[in-house]
Amino acid sequence: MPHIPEVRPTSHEHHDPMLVAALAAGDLAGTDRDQAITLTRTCADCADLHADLLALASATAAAPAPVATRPRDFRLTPADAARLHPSRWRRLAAAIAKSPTLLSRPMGVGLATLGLVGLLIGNVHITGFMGSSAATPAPQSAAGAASSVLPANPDMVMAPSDLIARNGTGSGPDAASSVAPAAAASQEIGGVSGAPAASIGTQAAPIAAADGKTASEVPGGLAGASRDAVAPEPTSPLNLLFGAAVVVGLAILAAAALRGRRTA
Amino acid sequence: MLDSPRLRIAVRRDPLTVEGLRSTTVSEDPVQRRDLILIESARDGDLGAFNDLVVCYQDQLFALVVRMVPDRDQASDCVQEAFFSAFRNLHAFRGGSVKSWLHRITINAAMDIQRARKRRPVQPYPELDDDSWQPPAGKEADPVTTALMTERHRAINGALASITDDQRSAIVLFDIEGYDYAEIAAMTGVSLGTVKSRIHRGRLALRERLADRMELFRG
Repeated sequence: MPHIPEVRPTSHEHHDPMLVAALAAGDLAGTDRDQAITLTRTCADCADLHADLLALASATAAAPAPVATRPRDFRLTPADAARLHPSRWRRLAAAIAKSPTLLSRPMGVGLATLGLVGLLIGNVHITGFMGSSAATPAPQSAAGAASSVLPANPDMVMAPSDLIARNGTGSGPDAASSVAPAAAASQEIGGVSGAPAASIGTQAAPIAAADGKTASEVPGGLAGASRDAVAPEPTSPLNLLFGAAVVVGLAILAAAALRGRRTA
Repeated sequence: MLDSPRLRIAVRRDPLTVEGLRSTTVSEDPVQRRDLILIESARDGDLGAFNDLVVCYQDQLFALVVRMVPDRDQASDCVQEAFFSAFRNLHAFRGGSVKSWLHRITINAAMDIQRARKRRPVQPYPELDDDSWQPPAGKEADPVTTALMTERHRAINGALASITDDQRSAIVLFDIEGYDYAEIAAMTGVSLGTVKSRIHRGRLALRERLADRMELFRG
């Protein structure tokens, strides 16, 4: 309860108006009520306040709405009904949300946790084991091969002109310009944007030149070493699956939480 | 309305499911009985039944909202959105008072509007200057009394519109709609003590704003 100052008939500013308001609303009992009644009996201003609050409460209850007539009819048209009719997904979500809290909450938490764990483990797995699986060659286009060959390691950054020469499919400036952004991106990933682009020539070019193969075809060579640092594909099906599990789990939790507030 | 053929058919329809029985528990109150029948029909896809419910409650809900959101257009949008929400969530109605269910949905919609208004303040309460409507006077009404009542209502509505949204909502629900503290606490999602505090502070604020016009309310 609010602090009740000592009753002084001459100092209304020290009296607690909330106490008088609570008395007017009939919310007080016991000593609080006694003190409030004492205030109204010993202080004329408190008595006026009490009477005014009672009068205002009854006047409020009797007051009509400030705008009496509604400006339009709120009946729903068939088009409204069709628009508001829940879609199949909404009905499914509603059915899940409608299920008892004991069921929907654990389901939401479980799905979200499973998704998060799957995302973590999947990405660690991909990154950790990519090196061992990288020896398998894959057919790639010229640009794709160029970008996959480009390593994050600044020591292995290859100049576009070297790539074109090694793949043998480049056709002048166009090919060089298409490869250049990938080279720049690889440099950024490596964290050494200022590394000399031609430095790869000292390591990879001799290997490739020795047997006439591209770098991606060299087992355990440039490709195997570079892929350890390549980030996993963010749009892989597994990532999408686990991401969807997280989203659905959180949606179930949110729906369960909102259900009571909206329609209870 | 209770004598309409459609309602008779709805009453005779059987068999009822367990869920149906729970939500259509026979009520002594004819209004409640009518509402439950309409809700059941609407759940079965009868848009006309839902619109009957709209007709029954639209004036009442608009009068409630226009006190909480004293802007005619916003209040109107709010009531429409509340009926949309009710239609969308017909399946979520779990029995009890249809009126209270609709009021809760409407109050939530009004509170959403209030929150949105706080984020994007606009010129407040243009409708309060609208004096075109006055409460109907009885045949024997004294012109002086009528004028006094009109002035009193205008003053109290103006003062209500000038206090905070939370205080206004609490006072409207308590003094005008007649809900008790616990019901208001449940509707607005705050504690019982907060509801009491809002009502007390709101009344004190009303008195402060009407300090120079209190003679209208005394005696």
